[in-house]
Amino acid sequence: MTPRTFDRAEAAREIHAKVVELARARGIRVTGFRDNEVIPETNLLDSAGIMELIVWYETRFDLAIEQADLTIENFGTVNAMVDYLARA
Amino acid sequence: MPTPLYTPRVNNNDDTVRLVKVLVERGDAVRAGDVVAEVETDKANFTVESEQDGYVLAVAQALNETINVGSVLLWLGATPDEPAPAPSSNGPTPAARTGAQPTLKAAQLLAKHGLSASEVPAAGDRLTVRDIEAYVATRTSPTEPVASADTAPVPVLPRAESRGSTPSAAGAIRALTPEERGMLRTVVWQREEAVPGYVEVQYDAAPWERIAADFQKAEKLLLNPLLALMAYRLVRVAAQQERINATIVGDALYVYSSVNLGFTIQSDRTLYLAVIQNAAAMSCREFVSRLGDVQRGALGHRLRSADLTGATVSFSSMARWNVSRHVPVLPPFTSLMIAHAATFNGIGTLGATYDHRVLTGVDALSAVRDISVPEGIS
Repeated sequence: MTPRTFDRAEAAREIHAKVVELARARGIRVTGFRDNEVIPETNLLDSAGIMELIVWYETRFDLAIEQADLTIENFGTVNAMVDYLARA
Repeated sequence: MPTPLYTPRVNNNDDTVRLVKVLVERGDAVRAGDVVAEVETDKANFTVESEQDGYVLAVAQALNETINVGSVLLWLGATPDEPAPAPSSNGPTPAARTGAQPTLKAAQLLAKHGLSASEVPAAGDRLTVRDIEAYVATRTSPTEPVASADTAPVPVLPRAESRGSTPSAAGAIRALTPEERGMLRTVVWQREEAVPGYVEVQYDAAPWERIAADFQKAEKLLLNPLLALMAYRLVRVAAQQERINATIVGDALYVYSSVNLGFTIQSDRTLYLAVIQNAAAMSCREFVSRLGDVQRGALGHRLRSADLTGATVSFSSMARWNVSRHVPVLPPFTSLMIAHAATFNGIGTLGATYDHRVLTGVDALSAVRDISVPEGIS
């Protein structure tokens, strides 16, 4: 892989905002969500919501993610998603 | 005083019926509830019963003719020698008028021809497909004499074209989106071809939740695989019981040679039935991965046609919306669709819509019970 150049802070802000947006769509008020929290464990998003997040991520950052890569390690937190972007 | 017996509406989709049998004749005494005639639509035959005691004064329609719902079928009187109204006053045959509210089908036809309801005369209270066909015929045949609205020929339409719902409340018509049209075609199948039934059981959700959590941990999955694992359980059950994985073709049972698992996915306002082809040939892990792929494909509106066709059994969940029960519509040519609902206080609900031509309620119940237990999942 060739690491791409991007603004980490901006990417983290966008991903964070998307998580909050999807949580709000479920009627959940988000307070104090941190970028190193494991998203599935926060219960902000259910499985379908996480799937929506991933599909948005693929589109927004122009990536095609292999199903095998959809792990907690790669996508469990906002920071992990930014790291994956850096490796892509 | 003569009382009309009107041609009944037998379903929402047929504005006309064919008069196939008249069981009474002039002078006959009838009682309320007596069958006096039979009519047919393109789907079934129906009997027409007298709504009151009396005597038949006249049969107002000709045998084997296609007649409008709501037209006078026959006249009844208190005595057998009352005069029946003259045919010219036989039911609602008012002078044609414009501006009548179109039926749903008529509105679609208006749009197709680029017409408005205000310019097409209606023979009755509502503007019908027949009215529009007659109007279009006069406009597009300039070499033929232009008939007046009163005498415009009424073409006999193919039956499929004579269908149309007729909502009574005011509204506006717009064309269906491709997604809406696809869903309509899917659900209409059930109305016309299947004989759906529904069964449901409650079950202890804890074993399934444990299995899903263990599987997620072992495979390091981002997503909880519960629904995928339950769908895979359905695949295994269908692979073992051929009638679940079958449908009716003509008078025969059509047993599918592979289990193609349909799985409903809501994406924005589109409901997909994504299909995992030949799912029984997959391992549990392969199936979960493949279902994840098609879920992402559906959410991104980028499924291939092969991902959307050929389901032989199906699975649907509305647990995400905390739905405690839902009765799914059977996809075309399938006999079983599992309905997964939300878990409350550790108790889950699993239902199934099934085609009663293929499966009994006990068959469906047995399948649901099998799926409620996570056997053979690892």
